[in-house]
Amino acid sequence: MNSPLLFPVRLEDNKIIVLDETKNPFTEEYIDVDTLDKALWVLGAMKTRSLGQVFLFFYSCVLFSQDSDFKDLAIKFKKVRPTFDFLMLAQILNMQVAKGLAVKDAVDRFIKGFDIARKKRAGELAQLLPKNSSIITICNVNGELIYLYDELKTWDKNCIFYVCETRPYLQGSRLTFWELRENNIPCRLICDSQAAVLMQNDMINCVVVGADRATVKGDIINKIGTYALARLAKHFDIPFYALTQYPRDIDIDSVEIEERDPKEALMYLSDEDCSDMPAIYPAFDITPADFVTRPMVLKV
Amino acid sequence: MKLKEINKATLIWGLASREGLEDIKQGSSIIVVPENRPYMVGLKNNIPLLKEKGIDFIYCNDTSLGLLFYKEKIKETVIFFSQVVEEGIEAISGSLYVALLSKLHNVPIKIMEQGTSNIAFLDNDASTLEGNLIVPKRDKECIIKADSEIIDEEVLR
Repeated sequence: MNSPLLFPVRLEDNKIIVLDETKNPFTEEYIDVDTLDKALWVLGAMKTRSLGQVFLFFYSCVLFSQDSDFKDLAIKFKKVRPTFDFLMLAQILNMQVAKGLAVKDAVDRFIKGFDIARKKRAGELAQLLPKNSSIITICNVNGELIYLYDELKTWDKNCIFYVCETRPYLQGSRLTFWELRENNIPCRLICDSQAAVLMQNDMINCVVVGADRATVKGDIINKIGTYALARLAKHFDIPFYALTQYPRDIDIDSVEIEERDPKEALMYLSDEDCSDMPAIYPAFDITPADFVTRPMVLKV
Repeated sequence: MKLKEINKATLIWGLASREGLEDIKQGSSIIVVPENRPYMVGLKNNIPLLKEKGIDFIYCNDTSLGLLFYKEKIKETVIFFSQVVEEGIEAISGSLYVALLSKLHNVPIKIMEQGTSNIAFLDNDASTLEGNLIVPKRDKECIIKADSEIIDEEVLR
């Protein structure tokens, strides 16, 4: 079982190698990042996201930071993707470096620990899921569903994933569905709005999603479309599990929701007449704790 | 355009009719038009009709609907249905998603008979966008076909 999405960003020969996640599934292309400007560009252009942006930030600290305090770099990253908590990543790294670790060693240790923790979390979740799990998911959690499938098998549980396509960037179709199919894991692809009818027809018995932000209370912010799944799941009495990390004691509604260029709402469409159309594209939504059955907090 | 600019909008779902849009125009400041996957009815049918009639609208992806309800941006939902059935109405794929989100946020739902269209919609499921495959051809067998959905009268109340 494997996926390039498990480690979408690597450090090699003083360059950051970034999987261009906008090109999957038909091509697997990598971008060489050798300047901070380019790092910020790949971030803003959604070439990488989710776990990839964490690795990109850490490796940028290794290569491009002039300072041993990484807050300034975090502020630059946050300007590009305002919802994600880069300041928290800077704090984590600052603490490790303050203990006397070299930056690269601290980053290597973090990434290794992060992956071990992801596998452990997948094991904990597998124990909670039903013997025959029909899991709906949205967007992409960088290979963690593959870990989950492995763990479900060790508990002798069956599983099928229903993957929401996740408009407009189609991370569900192009990344999650693709990596599951590549690993021969049972899955089905649906349009985002098909979720309700599947739930009503008893085809789904749990929801598993990632989270870009989380609070200690259990609220999450994740890819746009997540909140609707949570509300519908609650209505149909289906448990909703969120894969969270580093929950903060904050008011979730105080977090800025990134609103991207409205033209991106038309991603992957060719209709040129629509380029000046009034549109909105909020990239994330908020799911209050009332709708999260259990946040699965990563224990690094 | 930004989310904060939307207020008291009417959300439309399904194949809109000219007459229906005229009715909606009377009582609404702005109309939210989702993409309406897989067929792209919003983009291919509803927006051209709104443009033709000079009615203000905002386009969004179907995934944005939850946030619009959460932020109380929608004051009314209009679902265009294909037929009345014993249980309630039959309407285009995704209608249950929209109807339930409306109900769960206490947003009233109005139903209208759908319009007709000569457009050849190119997409029937999540495997294509404007007729172009977005997943490898070998994976076509793993796509759930979109179908019309029944919405119970109780949900519409």
